[in-house]
Order: sequence, then structure tokens, then C-alpha cells
Amino acid sequence: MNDSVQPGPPGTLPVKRLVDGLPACAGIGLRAQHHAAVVAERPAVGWLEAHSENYFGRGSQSLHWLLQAREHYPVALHGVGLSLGSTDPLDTEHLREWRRLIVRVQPAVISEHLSWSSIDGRFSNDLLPLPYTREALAHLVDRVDQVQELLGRRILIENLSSYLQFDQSDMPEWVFLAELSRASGCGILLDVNNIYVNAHNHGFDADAYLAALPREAVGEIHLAGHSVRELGGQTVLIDTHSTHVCADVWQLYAQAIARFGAQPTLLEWDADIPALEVLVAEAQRADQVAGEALAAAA
Amino acid sequence: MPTKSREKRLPPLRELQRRFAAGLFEPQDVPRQGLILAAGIEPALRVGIYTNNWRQGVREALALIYPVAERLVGTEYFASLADDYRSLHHSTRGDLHYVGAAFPAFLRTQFANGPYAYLADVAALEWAIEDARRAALVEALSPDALRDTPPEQYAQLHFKLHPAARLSHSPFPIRRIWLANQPKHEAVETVRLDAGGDWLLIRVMPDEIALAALDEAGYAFAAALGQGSALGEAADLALAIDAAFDLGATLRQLFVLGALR
Repeated sequence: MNDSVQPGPPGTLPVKRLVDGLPACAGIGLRAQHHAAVVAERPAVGWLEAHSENYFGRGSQSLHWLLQAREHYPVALHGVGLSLGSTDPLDTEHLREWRRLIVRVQPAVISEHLSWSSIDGRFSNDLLPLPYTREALAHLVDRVDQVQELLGRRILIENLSSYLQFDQSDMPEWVFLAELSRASGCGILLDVNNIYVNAHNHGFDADAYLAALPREAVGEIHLAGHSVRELGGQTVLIDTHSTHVCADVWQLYAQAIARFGAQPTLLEWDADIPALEVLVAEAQRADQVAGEALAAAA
Repeated sequence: MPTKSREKRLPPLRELQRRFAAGLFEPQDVPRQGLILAAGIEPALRVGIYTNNWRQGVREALALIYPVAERLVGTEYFASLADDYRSLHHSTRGDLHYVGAAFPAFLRTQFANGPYAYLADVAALEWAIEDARRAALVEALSPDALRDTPPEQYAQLHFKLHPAARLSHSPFPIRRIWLANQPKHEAVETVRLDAGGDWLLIRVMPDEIALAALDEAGYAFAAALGQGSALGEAADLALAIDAAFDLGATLRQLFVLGALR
């Protein structure tokens, strides 16, 4: 990891730039159902992502498979349970577990979410949205600083799907995310499906979101399928990770690639997980869409 | 000079998180005003999506750890048990593994002495497996380790149970119940609850879970080793339970299972 701090414009926090990386092609999630098959068949995907918490503990069963898979693929460790945006103290035990796993697995990238999931010690074990305010931004910058300090490396922070907005918010999500990256040096894990879901749910322009993010901050992309629900007479998109990526999200992905260049891209599928071949085919489609987008941009 | 005591105001983000969580965890407490933009949909309906995610998340986390218990009572009833459990046992960690820790104790309270009393023991077996899954990646002790010890010194030897080994016992036939409810077990089998209890040693390996049936004396022997007793003391304990306890055979069985360290 290269770590340099550059002075920002007068009156702002210094801009940090930290660099690391995965191959800029598609990968799939390593999930328990496919542990053995991935190791035995070594499907043609560029890299694997593992949910960090599934490998916590000293980890005999699942870690055995992850370490075997790690022999053949670069790995990203994606955290889902840190409750980064909570105003409770950071869970240092959770971070210690994560650090131990990072030392064992030597991932190419680590990531967490722009969210919170606990208050006063009680967890919903879900990714809850934040208000986009200066106060929340300062809090997140401080928390990301602490995490990067403790883990000794850069983290990517992922935008999430949300189903509400807070009255207090006084800046758009994309400004918040861009500022967080600029002030903390964290990278952005750009979830293109979540942008699409939020653009629908909150009525903004997904193109404006992409245009507002600094090119160099994006270090990985997530793609997933979502579900459509009726709520109070309106359509709400719910991020379920339970199906194929839809046509509109493929199109938005092509736009993201045109703007940010080729990116490590994860096909997320966490519920109703299909056969390994289906996941691999979806990843190959991502490589194809990205290739076409790059050719069109050139 | 004494200062006037004033109620300290919470920072807005902390206050927001408390108010939002109150509505999420207790849906009747969703704030009506000043927190969430309605934007065409009632705030309570919006928060309801998160309450539903929370409910569903706990159901799924428990079903993943307790698939046999779920199969025994059916998906629907298991979900309602998960909902009751969720309201009694708050999640205090970001790692979903811990969400399931108190479920066997919850089932024990729910079904004490009734026709479903066995369910808590099946769940305790499943928790032991889940817990052992997270144990350290270390080699088991090989019988060769005894090669350099003269037999007359065996009684003073200390062993540990392998981190991925667990003990679980029940007055119900939990091993047969567990085996009959594995996805690969296709035949429908009737297990009589009064068929006798089980004294089990569980050993989780990367691609296999071994459930070895011990007898009461063998179980007491393994438990005593696990608690730090020397071989001789553990054997005496086992012999006090069953005068016919076969030390050599039991020790061999533990070595074959990779249960020692």
C-alpha cells in the first residue's frame, strides 16, 4: 500500500491517497454452498469476495476453504457487521477478529458499508442508512480513520440501498460519499445496483451520482439483483441479492465503466443462491459489458 | 462557582439513531414527525421495511445454525419461534453467529417437560457443531505422541480435547434425530423418542461432521480430559460410572476421531 498525504485546498482537511487493488475484471462471492466446488473446479473468474464475519473465530471449517481458494484467486474481504456509522464506540473485538483474518488471508482489498446497525449496544444486524449532514460526515471520517489506523491499510466504503431519507440530511448521498473518501483516504466500493435502487426510491438522477464521484477513488464495483415491492401505493425497489442483474443496471454499469475505467466487479448473490455455473455466467457477462463499454468509450 | 445543572443535549446523530432504532425495534414507536421524509410513503411503512429485514435476518441466521430444529417443527413454526426469541434476546454483536447462542436455552424454557422437550437438546447439539466450526485450524494429536512415554507413566499424562471437538448428551436419541434430518438422508425414518439417550463426541472437520456415540463412562472420561484431569484421574472417574470401562478402546476411539490435542 502506498500512503501519501497531500495538502487540500485551504481550510479543508488534507486529502489522503491510498492505493491497493484487485484485478480489474469480474469476480464472484465465495459462499458456503460453493466452497468445495470453487476449490475443486476453479471456475474462470478473476477473483473472489468473502464476507469477513463468516470466517471469524479461529475458523476451522470455513477458513479452511477460504485459504484453499486463496491459493488460486485474489480475495476481497467484505465486512457487513462493523456498524461503522454508529455513535456507539467502535467494536474493537470485532476489529481484532477482522485484523486476525486479514493477516491470515492477505486480501487484495477490504471493504465495509456506509451504514450503521446498532445503538446502545443493540444490533439490528442490518445496514441502516445515515443522515447526510456535516456532523455525520465528521463522525464517519473519524471512524474510517480509526479503522484504517487499526487495520493498517486502506478500506473501501460501499454505498447502500435505502428505503427512506432523513429530514436532517443537507447534502446528497454522493457528495457525502465523495467527501468521506477525500477526507479519510478511503476508497469507494461503488454498488451500481444500490445507486439504481436509490435513484428510483428517492427520485434522483443516477448519472449525477456517477458524475459526482472522483474517478481515482473508486476501487471496486458491486452488481446485484433487486426485487420490486408495492408500498403505500408506490413501487419500492428492495436490494435482495436474490436474482439476476436487471437490464437497466447493466446499462448503468456500462456508464460506470465508461467513467471509472475497468474495475474489479463483484456479482453479488446472497439469497436463493444458484448453481456455480449461473454465478460464473453472470460474471462473464459483466466482463463482456465492461469490454463493450470500454471499446465504445475509446 | 457552582454551575446550574442543565440537561445535556445529545449530538443530533446519536439522537437520530436512538429515535430511529426505537421505531425499528418497537414499531408502535415510529416517530410521526421530524425524522423521516414521507415523500409519498408513510414513514412508518418505510421503517417497516427495516423492521421486516431485522425479523427476516434473525429467522435466517437461526435457520442456518439450526436446520434440524427447523425441519423438525416446520418452517412456519420455526419462524414464529425465531420471532419470540428475537423479542427476548437482543442481538449485541455485529457478527450473526452470536445471534443464535441462546436459542437452545430459549427452547428449553419454552418446552420444558412437554412433548417437545427433546428440541432444546437437538438445538444444543447444533450449537455445539456451529461453535466447533469456528475453532482453530490445528492438527489433532497422533497416537505416535505416546511412543516415547513408558506405559507406567500414562496415568500422569494430560490431554486436551481438540478445539473442534465438543461433547453433547441428552436423554433423547439426538444422534439419530440429527442423522435422519440431514439433507443427504433421503429415507423417511421414524425415530422413537424413548429409544434411549445419547452421549456424543462431535468432531467438525473441513468437509465432514463426525458424531461419535460414546457410553456414559466414555463421555465422562472425555469430559474429564477436556477439563484438565490427568489420564489416570479421568479413567478412575469413568470406572466409577462403569466398572467395565475399557480405557484402551476409548482412548483409541478418541485418537481415531482426532478428538485429542
